[in-house]
Amino acid sequence: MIILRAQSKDRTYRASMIIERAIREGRGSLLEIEAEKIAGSFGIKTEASRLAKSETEAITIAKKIGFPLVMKIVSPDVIHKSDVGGVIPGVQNLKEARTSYRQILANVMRSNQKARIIGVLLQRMAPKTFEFVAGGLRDSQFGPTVMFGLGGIYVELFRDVTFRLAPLKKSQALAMLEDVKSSKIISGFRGSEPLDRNSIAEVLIAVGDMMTKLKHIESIDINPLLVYPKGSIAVDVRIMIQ
Amino acid sequence: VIGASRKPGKIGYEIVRNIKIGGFAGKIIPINPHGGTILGFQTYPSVKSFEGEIDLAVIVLPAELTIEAAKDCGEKGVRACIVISSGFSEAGHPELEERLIETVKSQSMRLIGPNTFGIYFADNQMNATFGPSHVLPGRTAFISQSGALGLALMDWTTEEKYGVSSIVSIGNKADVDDADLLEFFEQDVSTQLILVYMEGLKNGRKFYNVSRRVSKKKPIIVIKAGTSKRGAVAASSHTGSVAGADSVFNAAFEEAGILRAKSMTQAFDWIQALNENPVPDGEGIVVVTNGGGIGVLTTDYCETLGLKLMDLPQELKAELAKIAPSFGSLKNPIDLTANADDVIYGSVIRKLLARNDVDAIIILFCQTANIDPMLVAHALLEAKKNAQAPKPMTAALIGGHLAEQGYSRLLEKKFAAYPTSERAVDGMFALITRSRQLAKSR
Repeated sequence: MIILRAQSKDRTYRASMIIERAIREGRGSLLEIEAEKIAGSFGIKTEASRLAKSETEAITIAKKIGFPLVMKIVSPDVIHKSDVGGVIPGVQNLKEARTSYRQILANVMRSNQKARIIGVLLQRMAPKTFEFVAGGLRDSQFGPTVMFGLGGIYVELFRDVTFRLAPLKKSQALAMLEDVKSSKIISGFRGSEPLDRNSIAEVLIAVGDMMTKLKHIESIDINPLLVYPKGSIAVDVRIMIQ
Repeated sequence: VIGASRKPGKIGYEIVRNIKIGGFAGKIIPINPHGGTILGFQTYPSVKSFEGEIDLAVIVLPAELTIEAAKDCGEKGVRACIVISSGFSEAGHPELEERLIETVKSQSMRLIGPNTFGIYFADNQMNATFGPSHVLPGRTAFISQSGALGLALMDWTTEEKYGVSSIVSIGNKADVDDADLLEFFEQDVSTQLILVYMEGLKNGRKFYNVSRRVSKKKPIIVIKAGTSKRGAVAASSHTGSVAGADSVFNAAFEEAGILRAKSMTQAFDWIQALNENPVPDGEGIVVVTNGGGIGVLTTDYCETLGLKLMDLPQELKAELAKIAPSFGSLKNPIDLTANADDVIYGSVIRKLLARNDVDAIIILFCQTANIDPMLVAHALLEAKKNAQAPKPMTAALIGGHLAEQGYSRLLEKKFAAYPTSERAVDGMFALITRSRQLAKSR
């Protein structure tokens, strides 16, 4: 127990260091790799990913991780990566990895010539499944909250989401899954296998913990959160800070 | 009353007058520099010139003079004050409000307001408001952030015979806030239910924590207007953009066991149902009607609100068959047809009240040519009075002025009654929701 507590203090401390550095640098959000590191330390499973700072490095990493891959821009000036062509999914081989690397840089530069570019993230592509969204938001009147709902690119369109005040108990996290219309997908929809409720609840609890313990976090977006019959993977973690 | 006036129409006069007319048994001390009497009460030039203890100061001075007055009160040993005066943060003078808060805190006093119309408290018949002079005592405490709405409802609750245990115009909430008042009404024996009209909260967490506890003892209904502020940063995140103005409030209210009403009508329909009924043990609802059409409408509306109409057991159907006209329907809703009179209504309700598997009853009566709704009202009251164990019931008597007289009588006799079927269902919805919330919190 004592060891556990020490570990949890340690992870809060390490996360705070990352956030404080970003604040010092005048950034409003964390880089994806930073966000994933923090999420990972709070127990959220993320897809293995590594940062490539050059084309050659990208090739070396691609060989290690294997295919298919998704490649994403890493830049403090690009928040909505897909909107500027900063994400290329389904990279199948080394040749495609090379052209994708060039393509991403060109796309980002075209939309914002002054964008500071740290590199390109290579991430193994998780198998297809249902996409959910998990999030956190610091409310001006109620403080830290947690959100869950149907994810992917239609979050804003369908708004099939629900909120709770953080921190969350397991029972509250599980109750959130029942709140949304998409709960039918989780229980198994038209012959599909039921999805792993506990793994979603654990992600929601972790998001609540992050919001409660890390006061400088303004919001957290995990979208998509890929949920399988066994386990969940946070594919894109975005953290805004204040 | 600091700033008491002898000119009718002035707030400083109306407050003294209301306290007097309301029948407050304590001493009334008008503070006015000109001396003499106001409405028969001896005035004093300052609180300090009065010898004796003062429990509550009602301050009705121009904003800039309230700070000095509050300081005098504190030094005199007054522990509580209501600052009626406006001209603070709501009028672009937050610095004045800050100074008032500092003064009150440094004197260890509590403050309601500023910018309020006062408070009414039924227990000691204290109407320290500049609203209506006559207020009907009842079981609902009403906390209002809006002045005009609070004043209007003060009149209305009396007119409609609802009654209130207290009305608090909470004003700018510089010190005492919604949560503090919930804690007070939690303990107040005359208060059975708490209604809050709010536009915003300064400390949402505090409200959440307190209301979660209080709602286990007394129902809390909140009407929330306006949108909450949100940082610009959050809008660029998915979570921020789907949060909307209300979802966090909804989430917090739901978890805290608060019933959130969308309108005043809905709030009062809920209050009526909750005040006049026990909380149902389960969700088995039976609808009794004399019209097929309204039965179908009601079934649809129940479904929309997530209320379930129970399947009637065979032996109950057999019992009902002996009472009901043969051409009616013994499914749920039980359609007694237009021939059903007060005797049939009475017998059917009595049967249902005697059953353990029936948790709640919605009674619909459409006015017909030959049956007086007043007789039906009496049959319902009679059945309720003779019931072995009380069951939640809401009724709608639908029709013209005869129907209106019928449901008015029911209201007077503390039977939750409405002029339309939807509102009777709404009332039942509040009861079932309350039952679910209590079950969840156990």
